[in-house]
Amino acid sequence: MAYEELIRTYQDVALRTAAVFAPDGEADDAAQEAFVKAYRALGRFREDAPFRPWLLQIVANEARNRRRSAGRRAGLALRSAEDRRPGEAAPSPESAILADEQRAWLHQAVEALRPDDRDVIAARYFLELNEAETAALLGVPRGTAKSRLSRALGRLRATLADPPGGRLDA
Amino acid sequence: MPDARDLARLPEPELELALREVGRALAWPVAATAASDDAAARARRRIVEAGIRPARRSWPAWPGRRPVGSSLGIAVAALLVIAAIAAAIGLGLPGIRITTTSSPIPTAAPSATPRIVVPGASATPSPTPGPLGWTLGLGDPFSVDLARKAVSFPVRLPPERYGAPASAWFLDGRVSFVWPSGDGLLPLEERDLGLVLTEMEGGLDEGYFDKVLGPGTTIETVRVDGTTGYWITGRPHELIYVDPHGEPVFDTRRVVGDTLIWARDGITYRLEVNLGREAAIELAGSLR
Repeated sequence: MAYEELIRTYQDVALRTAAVFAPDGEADDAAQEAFVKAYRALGRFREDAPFRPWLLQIVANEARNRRRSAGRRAGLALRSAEDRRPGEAAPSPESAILADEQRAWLHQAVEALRPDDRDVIAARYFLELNEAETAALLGVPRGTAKSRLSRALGRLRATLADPPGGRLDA
Repeated sequence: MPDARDLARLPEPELELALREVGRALAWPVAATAASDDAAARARRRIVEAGIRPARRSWPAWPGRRPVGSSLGIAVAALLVIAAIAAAIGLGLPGIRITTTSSPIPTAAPSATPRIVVPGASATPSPTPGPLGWTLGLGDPFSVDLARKAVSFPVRLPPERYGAPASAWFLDGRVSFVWPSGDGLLPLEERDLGLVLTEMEGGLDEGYFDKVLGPGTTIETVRVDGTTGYWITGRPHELIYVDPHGEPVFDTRRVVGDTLIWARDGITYRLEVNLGREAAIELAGSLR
């Protein structure tokens, strides 16, 4: 089935997208459900539009719906040094700009943001989507995504400068 | 002892890089190893078993696009073409594959003509003019120094006589550098550009090229930078990269000139320049 091959092409990024927005342990199911929904919705896919952001938007919606009904926050843990995938080195010293401890603080500060702020930062930087894809994923116009991101970064700085409870735990 | 407050004071580009670094350190889920049991296969089984069919336009239209006579038939045909390409590259060896395309390469001013688009062509140029090469969809503008830091491999650039790049770009683990025409660099198809160099992790899949040679595009095997590379001339071509995780990245950005592609030490280089084959190979060999 051609559709299966098509979505398998995007499966990894779809799973990552689901993991960003779905409650813990539900990423795989959310992706599968979204693939079925996307098939049903193929009629609204425009042939002049790129497929990837369209699919990812459906995945993100599915995952966020699950987060809402579960009433739980989503959030991925940082990998420990031991479970880095083979061949996937830690950022090399010259390219890493954060110490392990700072990485943990920054991660914790992002996850402490309110969901709108946290989601736009996660889409843009954790999923490494571009501006247009980030906007599509959040279902908002590009300008809105841009201003939302800028405000979210501002609040992230405020959280880092004055962490809730007075400290960030490494 | 560093403090969280130091992070609050990072300049914007460094904070953005730091956030990307956090993203790469997250415990991302991975698809089931057996293709028969992954989410794609399970979705297919459900679609087949439940007899699900695509509904006709029951959902709101994709925002921001004018309808261009879309029909379900055309959409599905487009998907089948996409799927054929996806299937052809499904084995996911790290590398680059080249395929020719019947669709126009996207330009800065997208036309409303219906066309079959390869997915992943996401780098829509911003509507306001940016640094040199901004229409090419190379990614986000970075400073040269930040671009060097944004990738996990050592970036190599042409020797000093070509000057510093006029702009640097980052997208999905790829960095690109753009030089203006002049100073020994003849104009490319976009006349203010003289040299476009892209570097990314991944190798070349040498077995693929014979199968996809299309009319109007010439691909020639050449010796470059101590390894085998490909010199591509003629009709605009399309590149499909396979990133280090085996995920295909469809790159439908505008091609502006003859292209030299090669891989060395696990890094793939793509150089567009209007100097002819021999000078391009010499330039490629001089990257430091």
